[in-house]
Amino acid sequence: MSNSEEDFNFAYLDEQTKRMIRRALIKAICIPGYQVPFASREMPMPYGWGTGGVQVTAACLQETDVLKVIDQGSDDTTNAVSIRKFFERVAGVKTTENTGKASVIQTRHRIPEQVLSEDQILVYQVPIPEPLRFLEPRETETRVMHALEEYGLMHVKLYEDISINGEISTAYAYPVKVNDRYIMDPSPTPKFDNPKMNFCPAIQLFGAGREQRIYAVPPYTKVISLDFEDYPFEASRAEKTCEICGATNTYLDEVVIDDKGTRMFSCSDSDYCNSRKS
Amino acid sequence: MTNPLPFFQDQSKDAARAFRMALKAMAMPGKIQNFQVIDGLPTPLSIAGATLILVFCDFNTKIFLGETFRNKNVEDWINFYTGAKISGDKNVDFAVGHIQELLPFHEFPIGTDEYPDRSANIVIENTSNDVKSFSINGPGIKETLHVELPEKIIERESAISFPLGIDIFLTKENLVMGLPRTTIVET
Amino acid sequence: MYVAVKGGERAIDNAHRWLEDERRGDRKVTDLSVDQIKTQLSLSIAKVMAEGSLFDPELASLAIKQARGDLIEAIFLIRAYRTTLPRFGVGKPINTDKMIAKRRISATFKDIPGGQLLGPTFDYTHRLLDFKLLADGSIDEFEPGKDTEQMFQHVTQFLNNEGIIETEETSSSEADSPDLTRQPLEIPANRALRLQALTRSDEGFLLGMAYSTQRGFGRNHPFVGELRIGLISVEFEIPELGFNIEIAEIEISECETVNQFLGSKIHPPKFTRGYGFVFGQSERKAISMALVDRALRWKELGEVSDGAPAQDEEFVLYHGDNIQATGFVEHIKLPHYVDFQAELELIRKIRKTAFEAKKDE
Repeated sequence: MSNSEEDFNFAYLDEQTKRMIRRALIKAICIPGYQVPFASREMPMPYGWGTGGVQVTAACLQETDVLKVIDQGSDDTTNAVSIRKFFERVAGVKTTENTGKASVIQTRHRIPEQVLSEDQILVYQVPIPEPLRFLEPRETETRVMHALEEYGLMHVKLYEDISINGEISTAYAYPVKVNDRYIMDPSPTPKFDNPKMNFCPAIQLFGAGREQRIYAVPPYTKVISLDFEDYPFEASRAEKTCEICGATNTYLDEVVIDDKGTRMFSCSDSDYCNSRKS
Repeated sequence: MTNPLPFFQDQSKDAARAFRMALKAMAMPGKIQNFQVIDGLPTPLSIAGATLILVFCDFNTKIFLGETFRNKNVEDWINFYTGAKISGDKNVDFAVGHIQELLPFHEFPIGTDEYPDRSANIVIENTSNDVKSFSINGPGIKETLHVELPEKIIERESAISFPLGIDIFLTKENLVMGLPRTTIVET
Repeated sequence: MYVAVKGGERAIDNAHRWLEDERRGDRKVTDLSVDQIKTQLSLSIAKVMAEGSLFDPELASLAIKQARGDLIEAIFLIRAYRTTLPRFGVGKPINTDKMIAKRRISATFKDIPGGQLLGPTFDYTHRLLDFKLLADGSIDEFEPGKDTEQMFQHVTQFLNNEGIIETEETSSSEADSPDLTRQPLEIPANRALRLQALTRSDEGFLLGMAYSTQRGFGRNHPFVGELRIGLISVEFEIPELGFNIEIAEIEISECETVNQFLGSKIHPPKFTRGYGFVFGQSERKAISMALVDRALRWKELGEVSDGAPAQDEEFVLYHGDNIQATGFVEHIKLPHYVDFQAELELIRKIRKTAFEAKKDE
C-alpha cells in the first residue's frame, strides 16, 4: 500500500461521496437556512477542526478555482495553513491570501472585511449548526421547533439576557433569521460580521461535519439578526483603531504585547490589513 | 455489483465543473448557465438534462422519466453511467421530462415539515415551447427579473407552500436555469 | 513593536518532524515492526478494528505504530482511510452458529451441549505482574484440543425451543439495515442502526453506560446467556456469477444476554434479550454493548423509561463515538481569539454600564 497523492481522487473525496454532498448542497440552497442532514465522512483531520467545511469545499472545488483559507480572519493561523496545504496536495488548486482573487474561501470564525462578489463562494466551518441547541439539547425537539417555526424560546432567552445584563449576552454565533423563515446559526463569527451576510452577493455554504449538517444562504438573501425594537441589534467591535493600517471600521484583535499587559489592536482580517498598509 | 462507467472524459474534474454550474443556476434563479457540450447522448435527452443526471444521480437515486424519455436507449444510458434506478412511480429523487409529462408537480415528493429536503429535483427539458414572460423574485435574485418560462410553471406556485416544495432545473440544449422553491413566479 | 505571528507553515512542519522523532524514540532500541504489533498486541488491534469499523489487522497494526500506541488516534487513522475505500456492496448476513469458537461460555447454565470452553481468557489469572516478561523468557507453544474445532448451537436456542425467550426478528430488507457510515444518523433509530452505532462506540463509554444500568440507572437484570469468540466467514454474492463466495474470515466476539421478562396475564411472560457484537476478541465491549442494547429497547418492549442515560437513545448514540468526541473536545485548543474578543468587548460594556448604574445610586 503506497501513500502517494495519486492514490486519492481529485479533492480527496470519492465521486460517490461528492454526489451525496452535492445533492445536499442543492437542497440547502433551495431551502435557505434549513439544515440538510448529510452523511458526513471521516476526514483526515479531526472533527471540530473544519471537517464539514472541508467536505463542502471538496465537493465544490473545480480545477480552475483559487482557494483562500482563513481562521480567525487570518491566512496564517495554523489550522488555516493546514487546510490550505491539504487542498494544494489533494486538488492541486491554486491558493491565495488575497480575498479579491479567491473564487472559494473557506473560513472559520470570520467573514472577510472586503465585500464579496457573485463569483465567490464562502464556505463556513460550523461546530454546532443548531441555533436552538443551547436552549434544547435534543435534536428530536429542535427539529420540530423548526418545522413549526416555533422560535419563542429563542426570543425568551435573548430577553432574559437583557433583563439580567441589560444587553443580549451573545457576542458571537449570534442567531439570524434567513429569508423570513428559518433561524440559523451563522457559525461562531463575531456578531460584528452578521450584517455582511445580509444580501451578500456571494454564495454562502455552511458545513458541520460531526453534526452531519449542511446549510446555505443563496446570494441576495435576507439575513436578519434577531433583536427587539427597544434593543436593536448592534454589530459591535472594539472602539479602537488598527495600529498597523489605521482602519477604524474593521474587527480588531487585541494582542497583549508585554508582561505589563499592554494591549495593541490590529485588524483580524490579515489580508485586508496588508492591502491597506501597502 | 458492477460500478457504473464514467461518462465524462475526466470524471471528477468535469463533474465538478458541471456541479458548479448547477449550483450557480439554483443560487441565482433566472440566470442562464451553460454546461460543456458532450455528445453520444440518447434522444431526446438534452446535454443539460444528461449532465444534471450525471452530476446528481447514482445507485442511491431513483429517477422518474417522462413518457417521451421512457425508451430503452435513455434507460440503458442512465443505468450504464449512473446505476440509478428508473422508477415507474413518482416517489423519486429526480425527474426528467417535458413539462406536460411531469404535471402535476405536487405528486412528486415535496418534503415534510421536519425534512423539507426530502423532495424531488425536477428537470424540465426543452423549455422553448409554450413559454410566456414571467417576473421572478426571491433569494438569489438581486432585482426582479423578467424571464421566459413554460406557461404551466405557474402551477407550482399554488400547490405547495414553503418550506415544502420541489426544485426545478429548466434545460434547453446545453443551457440550464434554476427555479428553486423559493422563487416567486408572477405573471 | 508587535509583529503579527507569521510562519505557521514552518511551525507545523517542525512539529511534525519532532513528532516523528519522538515516535521512533531511542534509536539504540530496535524499531517496532508492524508484524510484532499484529501478533503480540492483538487486543489493541481488536479495538482499533472495531471502533475503526474496518477489519484489517495489518492496517490496524500500522495505525497503532504510527499513533505511538494511542488507540483513539489509531482508530482515527483507520476511519480516515476507510472513507477513501469504495463500497462494492453488502455482504451476506453472517451466521454465528457457524462460528469456530475458541471461547464460549454461558452463565445461565451449569453445563451446555458442547461444554463450556474457556479459551484464552484473562479470567481467573491472578493479576500479578509477570516479571519473567522483562527478560526474554520463552513461552511454550499451546495446542488447543479438538473442542475448539466444532460449531456450537447458541445457548439462547435452548430457551427459544421452549418459547421462553423472545425471538429475534430478522430484518426483511436492506432498508431495515441502514449504514451509519453512509447515511446521517436519524433519531429515532431502529435496532439495526443502534447496534451499528454501539459496535463502533468507544469501549470505555459503553462500559460506563452498561455499568450505570447495573447500578440502577435503567436496570434490566441481565444474565450472560452466552459469550462466544471465534472465527466466522464473510460471504458476498456476486450477481454475475449467481453464487456466494467467501471474501474473508474474521474474528468476532458475540454476547447474548437474557434479561428480565415481560408479559401480562394474557401473554405468558418471556425473557428478553440484549445483543453485543464486536470485531476481534473484545468481550468487555460485547457484554457492555448487550447491556446498553437492552436498555435502549425499553420503548419497543413496552416498558416505562426511568429516564436513565443508558435508556436515552439520543444521548447514547450521539455521544459514544470517540472520534467525534475527541475531535470536538480537543478542538477548543484551536485559536478562538476572535470569539473571545467579542466576549471581552461585551463583558467590558456590561460591566461599565453596571458600574455607572452603581455610581448613580
